[in-house]
Amino acid sequence: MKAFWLAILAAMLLLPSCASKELNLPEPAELFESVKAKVELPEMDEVSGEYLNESTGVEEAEYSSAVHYILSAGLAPDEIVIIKAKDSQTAGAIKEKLDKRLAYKEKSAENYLTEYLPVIKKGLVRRDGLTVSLIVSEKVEEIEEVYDSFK
Amino acid sequence: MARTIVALLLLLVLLPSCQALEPNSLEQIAAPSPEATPSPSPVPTLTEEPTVAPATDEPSEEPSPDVAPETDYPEPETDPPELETNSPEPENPKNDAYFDSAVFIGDSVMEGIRQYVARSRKEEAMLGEARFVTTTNGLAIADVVGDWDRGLMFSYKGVEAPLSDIVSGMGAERFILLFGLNDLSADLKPSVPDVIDRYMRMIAMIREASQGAEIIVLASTPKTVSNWLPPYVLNNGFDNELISSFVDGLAAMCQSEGIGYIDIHSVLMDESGALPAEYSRDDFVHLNDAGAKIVVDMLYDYASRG
Repeated sequence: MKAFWLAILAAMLLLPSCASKELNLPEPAELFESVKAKVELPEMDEVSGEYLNESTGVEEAEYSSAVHYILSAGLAPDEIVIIKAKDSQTAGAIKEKLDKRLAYKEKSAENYLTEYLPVIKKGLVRRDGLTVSLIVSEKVEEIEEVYDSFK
Repeated sequence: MARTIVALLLLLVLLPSCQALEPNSLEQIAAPSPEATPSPSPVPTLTEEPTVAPATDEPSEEPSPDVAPETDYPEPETDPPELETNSPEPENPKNDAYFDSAVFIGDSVMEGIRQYVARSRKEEAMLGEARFVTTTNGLAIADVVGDWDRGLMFSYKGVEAPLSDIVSGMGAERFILLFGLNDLSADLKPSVPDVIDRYMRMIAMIREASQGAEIIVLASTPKTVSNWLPPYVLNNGFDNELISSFVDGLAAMCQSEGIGYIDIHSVLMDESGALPAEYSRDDFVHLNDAGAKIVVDMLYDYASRG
């Protein structure tokens, strides 16, 4: 009996510490603006909608809001996608699609525009609750710091 | 005892779920920043009036299978005259409906056009509801038709698939194609007639998969005058002479087969036969927004001719 209560106590102590790691991220557009304010990014244009769908397969029905930024000029693979999924299940599905997008970018750069392979390899897909992001940038670490500041 | 086991099980179930709250990150590999440092190009002067070449135009000379690497490049002009505009002004209003059921398919040059269109669509209508199937993986026609086995494919809506599979599900009425430079640059000794033959086989495949949709071919872009070639170009003889030979072959193919043809090559070419730096993204063959705008204007002009 004593062991039972000890286990319950341990669970109560551990769970809040886990929950505190959850980020309280703002909406995708606001989050990108926060990133842009704190990280020196190259000039990028927002192309969400059809471009996002054709590139990743993510459908508008799957998210409540999204931004998709690509470079304004040049051929570098920089790309920032931030999607707020409608629910947890679709967030998982969106993450899978963005994982595939990143894998395809990496595979592509192994054959063509090879000089960009290192920056693609630095790229990542992360999920924070309902927010799913694809970040391909030289500044990926700095961008992640902005994300992590929303605690 | 049983209660203890239940409690421990509860703990085991709860702990992994709380870890899921943490951000998921893929492996990050620190790598040095690549610096693509192409040699600078001169600023060429455009003297030709822009033209849209319809499918009925007389083709140029027969393509030559012999490709001689270009060795003499024009000297850069130190004080270039002012660049004349060569963006054709459509005589008719933009016929966006013409592109509503169109699909643009192509390599990284087409991807540049796609990005320009995606950016522009945030401000204004452009090319109706046209869709794009593009890639930056260096895909050649030889990959599409199976002459090469490099495992390269398009990815559309997140799914890698053979082009015929992608096309068959799109319900498009017309396909606008821009291909060929990767066949010339990724082959140590490319044969222009072979590439033209591949192009024709790819068109036949698209027609079969799409139940006879209309095909329109865009001529390839020239490359800039620079001697610089990216490291992924295997053919050291990849130059404007080779590209022109290929474009001549394309024009002949389109005329003999009754395929729509838009000659963006001659409009994007300066008097030395090269892509002006003003239209280049990378001092190679890829178009920037100014170059892509010219192509879009030519597309509208072509559409207005019916």
